Amino acid sequence: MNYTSNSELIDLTFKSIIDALPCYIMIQDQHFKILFANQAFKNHFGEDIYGKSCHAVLKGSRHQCNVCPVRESFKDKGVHITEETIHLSNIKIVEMIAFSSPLFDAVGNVIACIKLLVDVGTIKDSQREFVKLGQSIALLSHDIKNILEGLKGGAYVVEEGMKDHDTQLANKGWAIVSKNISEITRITQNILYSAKKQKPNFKDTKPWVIARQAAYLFSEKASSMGIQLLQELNPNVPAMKADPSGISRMLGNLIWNALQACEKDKVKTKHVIVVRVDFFDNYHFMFEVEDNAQGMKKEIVEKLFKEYFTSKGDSGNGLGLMVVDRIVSHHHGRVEVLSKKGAGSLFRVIFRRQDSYLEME
Amino acid sequence: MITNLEFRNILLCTDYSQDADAAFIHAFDQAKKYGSTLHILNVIPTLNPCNVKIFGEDLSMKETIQKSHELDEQNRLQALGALKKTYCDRCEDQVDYVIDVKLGSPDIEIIKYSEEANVEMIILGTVGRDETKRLAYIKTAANVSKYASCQVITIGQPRK
Repeated sequence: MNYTSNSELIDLTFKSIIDALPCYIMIQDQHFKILFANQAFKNHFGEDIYGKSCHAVLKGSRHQCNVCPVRESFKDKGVHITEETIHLSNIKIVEMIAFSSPLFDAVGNVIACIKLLVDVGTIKDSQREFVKLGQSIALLSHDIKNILEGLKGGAYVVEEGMKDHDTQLANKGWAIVSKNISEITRITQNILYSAKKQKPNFKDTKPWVIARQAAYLFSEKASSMGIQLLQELNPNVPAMKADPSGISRMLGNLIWNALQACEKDKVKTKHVIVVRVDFFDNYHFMFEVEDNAQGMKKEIVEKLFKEYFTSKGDSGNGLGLMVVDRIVSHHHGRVEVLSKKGAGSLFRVIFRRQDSYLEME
Repeated sequence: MITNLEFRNILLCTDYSQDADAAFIHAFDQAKKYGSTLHILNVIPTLNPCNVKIFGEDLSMKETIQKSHELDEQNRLQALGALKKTYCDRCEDQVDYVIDVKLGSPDIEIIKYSEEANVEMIILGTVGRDETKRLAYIKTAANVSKYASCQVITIGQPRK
């Protein structure tokens, strides 16, 4: 390459450095019009940005932002830092830290401001993950503490029964121990499922067979709680490619929630849970778990499937529905909920039938 | 004793089944009797509720969803046309009426519509047109009856 002067080479080097920086840099006048932008900025917001206002380009807005570091820099000649949500031209929304610094003329007036934007989305995501992790550890610790207290209580009753040769009392204690063992087993299995990253093991599986097995696992538990667990399984629903253990866990968690909802309901004397497999429409089939417990308010239904949300107060950690949601999304399904306070709840999981992949051109 | 019954909005849910036709006659009579607005609703299934690749691998997920939405909208407009053709003449000058087509699960959409339109009475056929293949084929009527927060009347036809 042949450069006519050393300063030309320096200019080119500076330009290359500014363009190559992994952040957005722009210079704005006092009307927030863009006078200059580096290549990274142009790559994401388009080449045709000079003369346009910053808020129009970054946020697609005709109005100035409520908090603007550039405006502050013009006002007090200082450096300002804010957090901003930016709309990239590919519809992606990112969180960024914005630094603004004034540029002065020979007599010290601010003639423009340089604004630098750094993507902190990944850091923010990690921050949120840590918050979630903290919340989950707190919820699970609380849950495990309750179970351990239950175990201690149960063990004490068993000991007293044995001491007094009172088999009835010992049996009562053992029932408490047994209940808490199954709760801790359930929590541990859900933790393991939500923590493992490996791909589900898909194989041809008959939906009604998995549903029958899942319901069978809870039949004894249900009858010990005085709850009727019914199965309405349509054997004509064709096989699906699925991870049987995942689908079984999904149904298990829904049945478990229904059992707990029935146990909590002190208004009705007879409780029924129905596990269903049936056609949804010509191209889809569904699993349903329905109970006749006390149901949920609309506001609660809307919050279900948010991570670690529970409607069970102290007796739930929200992990069960989170695992259901994860399994359903692994299988490209969809969850729907019907619920009415006082009437009960229905959880429906819809999957596309494997024999229905039509070419619809 | 129930007094001051006021039905300003009555919802008829139709899927053109035999039971839905009988339900229309009842809903129409009720709307006339109470001077109510008759809402006539048809819920049709969305083509791709699970958002999976149903057009083969040539289309990306984004294109698949976009195309599914376009086809859903076409189907909705077609269904709206059919609904107008079937019911407008029968209601015109006789009752106030509104017609609409929603996409999705019938029970969920019927309940959602009834809440949004402040419906006091829902009338629907007992057995839906597409429900006969199911094991429990009165599911929509049963679910609407159980989960709606207003009065629900289901109309069945005698079957051989």
